[in-house]
Amino acid sequence: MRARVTIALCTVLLAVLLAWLRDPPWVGRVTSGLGPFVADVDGRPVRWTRGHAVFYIPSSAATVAIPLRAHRPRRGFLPVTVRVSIDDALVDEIAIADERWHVSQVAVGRRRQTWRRHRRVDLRLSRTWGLEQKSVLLGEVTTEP
Amino acid sequence: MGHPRTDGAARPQRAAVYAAATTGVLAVLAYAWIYGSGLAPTPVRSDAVSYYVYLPAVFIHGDPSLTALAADCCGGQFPAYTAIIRWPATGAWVNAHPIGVAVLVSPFFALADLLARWGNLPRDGFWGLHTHLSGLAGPAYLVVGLLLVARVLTRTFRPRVVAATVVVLAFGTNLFHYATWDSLYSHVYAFCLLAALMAVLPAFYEAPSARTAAIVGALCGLLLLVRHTNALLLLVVPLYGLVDGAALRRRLGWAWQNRGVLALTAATAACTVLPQLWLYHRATGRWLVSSYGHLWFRFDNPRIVAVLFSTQKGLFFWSPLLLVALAGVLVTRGGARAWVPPLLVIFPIQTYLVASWHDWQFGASYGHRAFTDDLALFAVPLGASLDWIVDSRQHRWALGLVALLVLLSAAQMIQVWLGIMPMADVTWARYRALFLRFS
Repeated sequence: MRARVTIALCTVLLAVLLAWLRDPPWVGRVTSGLGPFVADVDGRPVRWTRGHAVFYIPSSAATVAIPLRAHRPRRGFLPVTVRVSIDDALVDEIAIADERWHVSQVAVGRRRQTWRRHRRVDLRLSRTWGLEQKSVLLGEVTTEP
Repeated sequence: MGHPRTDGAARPQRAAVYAAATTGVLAVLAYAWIYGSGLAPTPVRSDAVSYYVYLPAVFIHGDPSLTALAADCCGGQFPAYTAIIRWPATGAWVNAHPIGVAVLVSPFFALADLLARWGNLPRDGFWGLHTHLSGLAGPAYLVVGLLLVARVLTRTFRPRVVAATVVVLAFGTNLFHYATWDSLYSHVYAFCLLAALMAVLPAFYEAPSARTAAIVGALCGLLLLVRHTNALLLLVVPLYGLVDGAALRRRLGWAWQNRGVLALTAATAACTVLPQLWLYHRATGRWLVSSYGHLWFRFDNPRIVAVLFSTQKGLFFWSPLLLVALAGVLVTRGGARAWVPPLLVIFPIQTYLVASWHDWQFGASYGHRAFTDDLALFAVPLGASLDWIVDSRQHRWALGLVALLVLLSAAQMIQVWLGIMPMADVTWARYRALFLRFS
């Protein structure tokens, strides 16, 4: 009897955990492959990306703007190609070769509908440098409903 | 028959199970403290990176050659510290560390990846869900390894001695450290596999069958996959029970009589290591590869005293309880004597090899990590020592000393975690200055 109760309790707990993980409310704050915020030359917050960076945007957003730029490119600097995916669908590809901001502007609304509260944005970068595997700088991501 | 008589039940007693389980709970709590408080940034760091990379490579990118992972994580180039190199002739990636740890951790990583898919969470392979569920494999294999050690010891020793040995082994050496702080290094997995091999060997010799042959073969193969240098630990199979000339003669007769079983064991081991050989062949065109490349041994100048006794990494300096274990060889009786020949052959050879390696300190570590893999073998004479101490007249003093040495080892481990005690090149003056300092 005790074993059955334990199994039932564990099953319920597992179901609750899986339901909670299906669309976790905190996922909007999740990032991966990004360094801490640092101040750019003009004081605006920026973050280093590594080879694969992940962040989330609200699913209500119709457009998202992702500003990216190289950091002190030296002579002979080859462009970094950034592939932008939203919920695993490739939506943009841009080349970053200088210190100017390049903005990847994506119309999210045209993507397939989702019932989740957030969409996952993946940036895949073609080149990284140094032990910390830094690639390009990511500025403030903005969305519009 | 070339094996000792078995004494008593092989299932560990309740006290040992509680000891192992409590150690496991403490390991999970320690893990949570290490990463929750930021003492260490991620379990996938330093050597662990190259043990771990196979997991995202296979489960996320479906490419065991590591090419897709390198492109995804690192702009096409793994950093130099990972010891994952491009093979000069082919340009393919060759990893200095083999696939064994990844194979053993794969259920944990697979669960993390399923949860990540389910929740639309990051699937770059290096986010916390993947790394920490994988990292918790360390405490899990610690518990399994300790239970298997208890199973081995239960054949000879009293329940309270078995339980005490389990606790002393975990906290009186660097085993706990390698199940928590560096839980994705190879050591706790090799410890667990050797313990499993030791748990199954008596049955392999007493009642040889296809099942025990397959298990022994798979365990030998996995030990090789975890680290190729573990080939030395495989000597435990032929050396088990060879306590005298008569045992050797009986073993030779047994081997001839059971040559089919031995062939099956070897075949299973070969099949287990085949994926690694296939990876090497695919990357280099060769079946066997020296994945360490230019790194070397210096057999003419082994640093044996330094490896055993120095303040830098001396095995007995940082884990003095292993001296108690070695002394236990003199008082090991009954079926437990079967484990003495493997220890007395493997330990000296390993010491010589480690002392001849150009980096005899084995980089940054707590204690000498080269010997963590063999701790299951040390457990038997350690149990014999504790058994002898319990029966001695001065047992209170002796047990008190053992307890003090366990506490000292645990305290020094925490000093390392807090960054107070360096993980390499400790001098005597530095050691004295930092002795039991926690701030």
